Amino acid sequence: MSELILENVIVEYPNFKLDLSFKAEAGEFVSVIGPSGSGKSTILSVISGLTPIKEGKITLGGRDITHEKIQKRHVGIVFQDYALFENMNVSKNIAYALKFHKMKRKEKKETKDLLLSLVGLEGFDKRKISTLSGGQCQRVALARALATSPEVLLLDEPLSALDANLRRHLKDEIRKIHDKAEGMTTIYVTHDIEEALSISDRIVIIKDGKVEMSARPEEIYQHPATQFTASFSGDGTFLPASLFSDNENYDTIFFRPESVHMTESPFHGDFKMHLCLDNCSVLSTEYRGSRYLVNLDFRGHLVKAETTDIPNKKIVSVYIRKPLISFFKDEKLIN
Amino acid sequence: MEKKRFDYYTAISIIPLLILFLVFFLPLYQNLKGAFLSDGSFTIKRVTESFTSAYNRQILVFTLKQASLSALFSVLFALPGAYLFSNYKFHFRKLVLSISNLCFVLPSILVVLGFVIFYGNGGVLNTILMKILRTDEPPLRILYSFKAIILAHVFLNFPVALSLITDSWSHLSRNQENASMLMGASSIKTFCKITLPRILPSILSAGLLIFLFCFTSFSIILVLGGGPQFTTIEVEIYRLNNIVRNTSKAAALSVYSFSVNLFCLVIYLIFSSLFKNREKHRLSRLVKPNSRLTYFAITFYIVIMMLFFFAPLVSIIWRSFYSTSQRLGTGYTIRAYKELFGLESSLAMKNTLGAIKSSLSIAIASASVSTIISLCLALWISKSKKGAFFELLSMLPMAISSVTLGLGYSLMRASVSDGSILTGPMLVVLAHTVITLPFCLRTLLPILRSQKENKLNAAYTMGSSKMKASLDIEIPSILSSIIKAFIFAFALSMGEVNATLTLAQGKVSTLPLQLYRLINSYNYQGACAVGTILMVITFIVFILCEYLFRETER
Repeated sequence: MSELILENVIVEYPNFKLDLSFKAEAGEFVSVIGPSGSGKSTILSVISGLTPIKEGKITLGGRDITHEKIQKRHVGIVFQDYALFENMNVSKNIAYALKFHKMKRKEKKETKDLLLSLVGLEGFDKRKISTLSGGQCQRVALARALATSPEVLLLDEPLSALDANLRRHLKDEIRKIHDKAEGMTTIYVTHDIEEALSISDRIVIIKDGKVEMSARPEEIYQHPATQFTASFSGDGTFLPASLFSDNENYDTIFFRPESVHMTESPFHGDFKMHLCLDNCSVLSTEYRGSRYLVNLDFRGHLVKAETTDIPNKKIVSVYIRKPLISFFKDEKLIN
Repeated sequence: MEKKRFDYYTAISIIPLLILFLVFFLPLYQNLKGAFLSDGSFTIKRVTESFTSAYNRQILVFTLKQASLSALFSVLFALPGAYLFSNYKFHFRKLVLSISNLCFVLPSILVVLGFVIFYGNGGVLNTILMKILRTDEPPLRILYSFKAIILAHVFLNFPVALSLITDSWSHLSRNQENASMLMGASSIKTFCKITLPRILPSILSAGLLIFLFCFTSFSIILVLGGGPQFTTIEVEIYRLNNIVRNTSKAAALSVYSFSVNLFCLVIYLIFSSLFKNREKHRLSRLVKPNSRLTYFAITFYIVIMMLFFFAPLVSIIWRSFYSTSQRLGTGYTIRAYKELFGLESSLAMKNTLGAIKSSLSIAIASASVSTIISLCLALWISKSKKGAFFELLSMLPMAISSVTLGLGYSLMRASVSDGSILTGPMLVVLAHTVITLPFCLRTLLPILRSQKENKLNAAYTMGSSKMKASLDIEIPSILSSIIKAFIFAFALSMGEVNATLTLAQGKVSTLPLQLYRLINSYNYQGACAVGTILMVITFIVFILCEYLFRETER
């Protein structure tokens, strides 16, 4: 079993510093997500040994790999641009990884065939790389990375170059492949929060080279630890607390659009259990397939609400159940 | 891990660097020694003399004048073509463009011969004109004049300008022009404000490159100029060393030439690195010609270009079958070829078969050494952080003209004993290696740099060592470029006159030298037969190169 631990890892560039610790349990599927330039890809580069670190310690399955050679780390990596070897065909690309492992010829062929069928490319053995589509290249890169049975699989935005349909499909396949390779830890770098929420066991949110929050997807979405995490992990509304009370324990409140109920007549419910915003004017409506996202103006602040019907009136009231509201002080969540 | 990578790539660079030092810096040192040492003591007199002498200044002025004019006219002649070739789609567009690449491998001595045969007083053009105008006097007298030098330089170099400018222009996105015109700018205004600023760097750098080529041009000046008033620095160094036999004066002048060349090269390199960024776009810029006028312009340009380009070359082939000898009879004959292949005895032609053999072996040897050295250096430079400095260092042979290099080698030969292997053909091979090295390096480095670094990283994570990954992935994926570099070096060596002439001193004979001697003894039919052989070899090389180029493009 191979849990991956990064302890106080520091990498310094002229105008960027990565300084983080995080842990991925054995067999866990961890997504690393953050805005561009936050250092997501650097993390993969550090784990694989392509970027040397200034300070800190990296352990994989109890083994200290901080100063281990790239060749001996037992990591598989899929790069954003796939980095396939154009001078070899599909089969040789995969076999190249097996070259450095003592294996019988027959065994090698079996492994290769197994990998090809795992990524759904049976019969593609002899195809040239230049004849493959983007999705097929991605599968070859994945098979190649898996060939050495790595302890940790690193995926650097592997779907970013593909179209939306293919992304959805391949995302599910990646998760299936991860589950089949028992005990393998996967670190998946992406900038797409929906992808991360749907695929991961755990999400690590990175900002400016530091970990903002590391938790289960549900936790991230429902109880974001920081305001940044809240805004980065999906739609929502921030309102200054001073609009409602003079309680100094918090300065900002946050809630998701689906927590908001909209009514076109005055609210008659329990005011103790709800936060009520009267006289909201409707700014715009976005159709989201199953529901509508309505943008409202409440005393100069933007409020996002999800509804099943288009509002008929220009002025509406909304109410939010208090347990669904997050309270922040100095950008941090308070309980 | 960075350190480990450094190891393999450094290891393969050590021997090439040593060789580079031996074949380049040692002769250069000999030059400096010859220039600064007099009877074992240091003197600066000769060099200051060569820098200040009025005669040399006059030579420098002429050299600069012919180089600037050649560059200017080459670019001017190329510009309309570059416009047509980068904006319109038409039949034979690619073919004509690849033909213009031919000039990169065309030996300059062949151009000289073509000019003599075509533009000479008794040449093809004058014969035709005399028949049309019914006169006995040749109406065109351009050979052995300043005009002829410029014309020959333009002939050899305008395709360089055409292909460089077209390459850059055709990679520009049309969207910026479209946006400008949608905002209401006229097409002329759009060209001046939007297009011109973007192609200007390529125009200027093409001009500078041609200037540099013409500055060190040798055989064209030697044959077509020659007289005291048409002498360039290169020819003067050759004259001082090989005719006047004042070696130390030649060495002093070569220091002078080296300084000027280095200055030009540095300016060129700075310049071309300033404008490296290229616009990325997917849509093709080429459109179908929209008017009859455009069609006419394209046809006109191509016809003129082909006439200008091929007429002298075709006349060489024709002339090799045509005798004007009073003694042996006039008319069509294959006598020259019989003599060439030893089927008929002839004093002038008797060495030709040997010259073909030695040319081929010298070219193969120097191209192999040059390709291997430049591959090792390119691999190292593309990875090393100090690479840029060594890249500049290995570009230095471009600054030291081949005549100067030849001089350095002959000085070096003078300092070793006669029995040493460093005599004759061996020295020529080494000199050619130095001359071709920068070209090989320039072919390999960009392609190595454009390789995705992640390919190697992926191999490392799979357990491959640096060396193995380099051999399995890096080198195979640039294989066609390596072959291209080899062919390029081979062609350059096949056509090299300058250093060979300075070095050979009757001991080594190559095809271009044989050609030069035959031109000098006015045996034009023989020269043309040799020229045709050289042309055939060049054409084969060129076609191979084009084929590979298409492969890499795909």
